[in-house]
Amino acid sequence: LNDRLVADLRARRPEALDELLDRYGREIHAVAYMVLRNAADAEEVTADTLLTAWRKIDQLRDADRLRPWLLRTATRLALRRRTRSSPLRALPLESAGDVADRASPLITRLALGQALDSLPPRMRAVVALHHVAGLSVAETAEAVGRSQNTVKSQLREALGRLREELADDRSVVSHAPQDEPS
Amino acid sequence: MTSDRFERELLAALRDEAYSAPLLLSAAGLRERVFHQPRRPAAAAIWRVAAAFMIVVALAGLLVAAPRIPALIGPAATAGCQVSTVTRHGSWWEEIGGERAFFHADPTRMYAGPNGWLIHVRFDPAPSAEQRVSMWAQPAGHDDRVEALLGEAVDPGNIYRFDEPAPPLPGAWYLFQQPFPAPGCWAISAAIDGEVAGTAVVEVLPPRHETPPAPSAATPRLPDATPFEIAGSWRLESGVVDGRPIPIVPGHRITLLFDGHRVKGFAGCNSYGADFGTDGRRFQVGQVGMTLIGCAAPVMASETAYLQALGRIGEVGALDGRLVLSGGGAQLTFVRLEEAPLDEIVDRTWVLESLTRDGVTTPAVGDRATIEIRSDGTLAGSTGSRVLTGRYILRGDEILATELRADGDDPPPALARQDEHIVGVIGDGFTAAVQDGQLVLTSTGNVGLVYRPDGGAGVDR
Repeated sequence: LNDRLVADLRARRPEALDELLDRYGREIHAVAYMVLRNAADAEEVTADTLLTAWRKIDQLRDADRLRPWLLRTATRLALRRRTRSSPLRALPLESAGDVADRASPLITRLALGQALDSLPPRMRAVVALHHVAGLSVAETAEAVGRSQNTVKSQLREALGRLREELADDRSVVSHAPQDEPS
Repeated sequence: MTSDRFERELLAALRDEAYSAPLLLSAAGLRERVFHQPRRPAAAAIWRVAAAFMIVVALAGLLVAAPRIPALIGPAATAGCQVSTVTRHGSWWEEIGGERAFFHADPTRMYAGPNGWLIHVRFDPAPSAEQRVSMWAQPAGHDDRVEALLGEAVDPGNIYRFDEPAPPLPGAWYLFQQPFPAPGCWAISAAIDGEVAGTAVVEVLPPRHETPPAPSAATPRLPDATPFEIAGSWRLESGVVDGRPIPIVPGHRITLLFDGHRVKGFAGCNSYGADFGTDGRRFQVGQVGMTLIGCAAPVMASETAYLQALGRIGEVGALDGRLVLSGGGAQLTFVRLEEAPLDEIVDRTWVLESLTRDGVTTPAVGDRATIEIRSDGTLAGSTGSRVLTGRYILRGDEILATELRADGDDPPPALARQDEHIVGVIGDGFTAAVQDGQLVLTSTGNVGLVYRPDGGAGVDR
């Protein structure tokens, strides 16, 4: 599949962009969002990553490496990006409820969000690439430009810090008080 | 919960969190970016060379024409926007426009902004009751219209400047709210049943920092809020649900922070967070997650009413520098929170002077208690008996400790209350202000700490 996609990209076929977005857009956005903690910035990084892939696809030697190559590009762009202060984007209204419904029952998104915010961006990148995108330690190390030992120790430290913060957290999932029936 | 189970939950929650923000980028949007990007470097270099050549040619032309430059550009450059002539009636009422519609406006003192200017328009002769009046603005040289809002008939007997009424002029008076989205030269027009009755030209200046004029209470709908107006941190100023005001308990403020696709904040007693969606006018909050800490009954009543209102919100608007959320019989009005004045506070050692609770001040006791809020995001200090270390982040005007450790032996009974007070204020998150050289930290429930700079006046313990 990647062979055909990479060939289409090299041939500058516009429909290859659609497929690239469809196949890897969400995953790139997820990693960028973990690094930047900001949906609008993450979207910019996603677009820039796919744009980079379109322009520099000739630099990719092995089509099988397309996914880690994209994630590495996204991580580097995200780490380089200067986070803007609270930019806002209009969201489809129906998305609000859908997203919140996925909250984990034991660890609230509120608490997890605060815990993640307290980690340095590069540490969040390591966590995202390894635990969310499923890259190996070696691939993660290559993506963030650090040694494998550094990545291993950052993974240990990140999970330890998250565990420590969340274990003591008093947060539980709840709902806003609803109107009482009349 | 076992360690393994917790780790599984943590990894699952991380994945949920990573994928929680919807990706709005479309294939069409991506293609647009790819095929309408700035020229590639090689092409850009050619264009740079061409531009440099044209500049050289233009400079040469200017040198040749130099003796005639004043004659060529003098009058137009000084004239700028040719605004309409002002006619004064009485001691203060000024008008522009005509022949059958006159605008009470200073054509050189208008500012761009989303809320628009309130402009009285006098139609002479007066339109009949069946006729419809309207007003709009057009940027010079463009056909695009920006329609004015309101269009309400007003009684000129109610228009005053200080204690001087408007002069008795003939016709009928109407009030419009005219937005000017951008600075520049604008033509404003008023019409009766679509037929133009008067036109004037005004120069609109760039937005100023002062609050633009607020629409009257009869405004049919608030101007849409732009992302720029919404973004940031807000404090609830007032709120209403089903006609009943939302009580705001002193020391238990209610805040709303926009952070990407999330709203979060403090509801008076508990922290809350939710996803939200908006298109600038419609606004909807998703399911709310919150902590479950108990507080005194009035605080809980305040929090419950606020969260009820938040769940009903359907629209967002900006009014007079405030953020207004409304819908479902509820309205919430917020004022903006300024960020904590970190520059004055960070990387200094502050020595505890006193503790405050509900306005009552108690002097510090025990060994020297300190706090140092460092620019690298860490905290350090002591309670007078235990050592404090931690990390913090900024949330609006609040400094929120994300980690806080108090190490050392349990404090002796004489120091236990102070120790608990300090850990409570710093651990719960606080606002910080420098007043008369002292650092004042205030936390929820009207509890606080007052520090002096290390080395300043005071008695070292």
